[in-house]
Amino acid sequence: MSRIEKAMEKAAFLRRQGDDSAARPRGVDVPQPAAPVASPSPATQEFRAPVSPRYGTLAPDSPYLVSLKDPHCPAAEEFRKLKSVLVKMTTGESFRNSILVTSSVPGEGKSLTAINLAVSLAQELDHTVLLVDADLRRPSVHRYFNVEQGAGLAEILAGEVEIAETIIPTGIGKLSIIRAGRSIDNPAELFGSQRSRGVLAELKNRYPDRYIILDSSPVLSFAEARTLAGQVDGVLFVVMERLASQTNVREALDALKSSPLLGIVYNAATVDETDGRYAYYRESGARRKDSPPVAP
Amino acid sequence: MQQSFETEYKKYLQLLTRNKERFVVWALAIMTAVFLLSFILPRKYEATSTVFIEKNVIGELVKGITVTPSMEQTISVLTYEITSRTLLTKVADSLDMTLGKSQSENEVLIRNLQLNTQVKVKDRNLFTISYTDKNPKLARDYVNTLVRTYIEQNTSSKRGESYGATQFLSEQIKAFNEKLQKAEAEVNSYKREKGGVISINEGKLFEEINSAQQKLYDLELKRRQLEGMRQVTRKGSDPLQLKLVALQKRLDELKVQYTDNYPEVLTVKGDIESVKEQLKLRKGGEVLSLDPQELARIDAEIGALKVSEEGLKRYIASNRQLLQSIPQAKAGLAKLEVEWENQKKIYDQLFARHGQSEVSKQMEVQDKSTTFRIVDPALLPVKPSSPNRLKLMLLGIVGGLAGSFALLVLADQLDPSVKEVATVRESGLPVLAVIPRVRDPLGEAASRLRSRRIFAASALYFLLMLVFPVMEALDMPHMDRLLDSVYAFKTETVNRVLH
Repeated sequence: MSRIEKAMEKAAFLRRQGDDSAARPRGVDVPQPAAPVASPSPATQEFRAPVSPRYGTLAPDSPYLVSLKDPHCPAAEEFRKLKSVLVKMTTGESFRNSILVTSSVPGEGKSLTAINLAVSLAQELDHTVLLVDADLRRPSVHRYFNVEQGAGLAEILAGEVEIAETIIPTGIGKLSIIRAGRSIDNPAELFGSQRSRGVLAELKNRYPDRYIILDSSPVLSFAEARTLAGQVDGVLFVVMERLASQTNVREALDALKSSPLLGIVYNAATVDETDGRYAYYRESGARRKDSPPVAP
Repeated sequence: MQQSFETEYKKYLQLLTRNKERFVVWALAIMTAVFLLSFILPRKYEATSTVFIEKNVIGELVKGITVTPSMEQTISVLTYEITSRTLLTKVADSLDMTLGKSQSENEVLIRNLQLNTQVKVKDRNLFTISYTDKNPKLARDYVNTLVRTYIEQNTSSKRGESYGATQFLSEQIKAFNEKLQKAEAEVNSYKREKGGVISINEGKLFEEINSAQQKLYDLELKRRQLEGMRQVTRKGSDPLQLKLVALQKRLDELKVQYTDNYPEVLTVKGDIESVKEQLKLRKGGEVLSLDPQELARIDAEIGALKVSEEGLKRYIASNRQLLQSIPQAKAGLAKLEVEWENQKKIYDQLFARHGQSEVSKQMEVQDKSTTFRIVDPALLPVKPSSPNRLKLMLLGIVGGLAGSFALLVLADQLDPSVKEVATVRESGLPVLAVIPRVRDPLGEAASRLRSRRIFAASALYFLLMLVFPVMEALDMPHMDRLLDSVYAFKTETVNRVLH
């Protein structure tokens, strides 16, 4: 990456930040249940994607959201590949639309994989996507989307709010999110409850063409991932290079043996810079650097 | 092969780029440890003395006359000689190193001395003796004492050798002289004994024998003649006999001319008969009618001849015997003479050598042959020879880099985490996507800043560390002084605590 490119990127970045702070309402620190909002957005901006009246178009700025920020980079390309594989695997006789993303230990990039996958899916015109932050212990989806924590999955499971109240349209394609909500002491029990199954079934079946992507806690640390894995249609297992030990991976996979494991997403792979395979992507990525890499 | 090498190389390169900060820090840590070690290691000082083995001009001049101990041999055993137990013990004693130490401690001491003493021969006649010790003063004194003692010992031993040789030769000469005299005496006595025999000329003797033989024949002949004459003389003196002889003669003459019936012959025959008759009649007592004087003379002559004949016979016999005994006598003498000659030869040689050895002895006594000259006496070493800090530090720098890299590789080997997609594939599940590491410009900038800071600090630290090897290279003893004062302070404190 040349110096000029860096400078440009930085400038774009700063500009975006300025926009964000301007766009977002001040004093968002008070998390309170939002007023009932219908899921399809009333106000459409230049796209038909719904926009939440409270949050507007969400503007994630994490550079790790490659599907959004740098859609031509090799990583984004890989997510697209993952998406098409996943679509192929899930659209058969029955639409297996609930997918859990988990890993053996924390920090392997579950949330980012879930988000990137969700964004990638949402950018396709065929699918609406609902990203649910099911990691009640260390929720992170809201951070990536730059929204404050508010009523979310925890509240739904506790029966305090309706599902519809918690869904936030992002303005990114047909992607909506449900945050984790307030922190609770016993997520595992909550997920094991009958209510949890009901909620999941409701989410699954409300829109038959909607993908539900659940970002969960790691398998080895907590029990809820295993519980959830039994309730979804497919499980994506994230392995990050040089993080989890081989034993960890093996144990986690053992724990998920009875779940519908779709496959493994190998994250943060070391890529040989001189490998010709990615040269094409890099070049095309660089060409498009002039336009802001922000997704619509 | 090429492929695998390339991938290996890439693997290590990636490992290095991924952990470059750690690599630098570890390398610096190892370097620091080695640097510290180089200062902590006990300092050892080396004192060296150079000795020249001088060959004197006189040596060349008297070459062949004198016999000097061979230098080549001396040099070849030099190392052993110098590190010999006896010599080292002597040196240790003279330096009071053995003072108040037990037998076993002395053993250890001597062994240490042997280990730390080094003898190197250069150019055949130049050698250096060096010794390393913690105490520079001791090292110097030890080397000087060792060299001095060795040279003294060497000189005295050479002298002793020369003396010994001379003495030995003298003794041998004495013994051989005695033998020679004895042999001479033997020869002389033999000569005395058989002198006559030996000096006789065989040919002459033979001639003499021959002539004596001749003489003997002559004498015999003469005697026979005389004996014959005696007979004749007796007959001649008798007239009848004479008549008979004359008649006989007449008869013989007549018989030549005449036959037996010639009258005259018959007459003569008758006469002879009558004479013979007369002679027969006259037998008994009438014989002495011969000339007795003449007879006695002849007899005496015959007797004398017989005596001289006997004498000659004896002479011949004895001479013959003599002739036979000559070779034996001569052989005996020759044997004795050979014996004597041999003794004499050895004696002469010994005598000549004795002269040489006398000169050698004088040379040794006056130190005129090869001498050891101390070209360079050991000086008080100022700079420790060991540890070679500069070398150690440079090694530390190289070793730090290599060791750090080795540590990285080791850590990587020990890291049980998943490192390759292939590992995950082994689980049997399909790998749906391999997502390359995503770069975060901000985070990368931060980490770049961090690594830049680390590198800058490391570079600074490294430059700071470089001061030490530079100081060593420039022979600046500040660190030694500092260490000395630290040690002094420590011992002082320890002493104070103890008392």
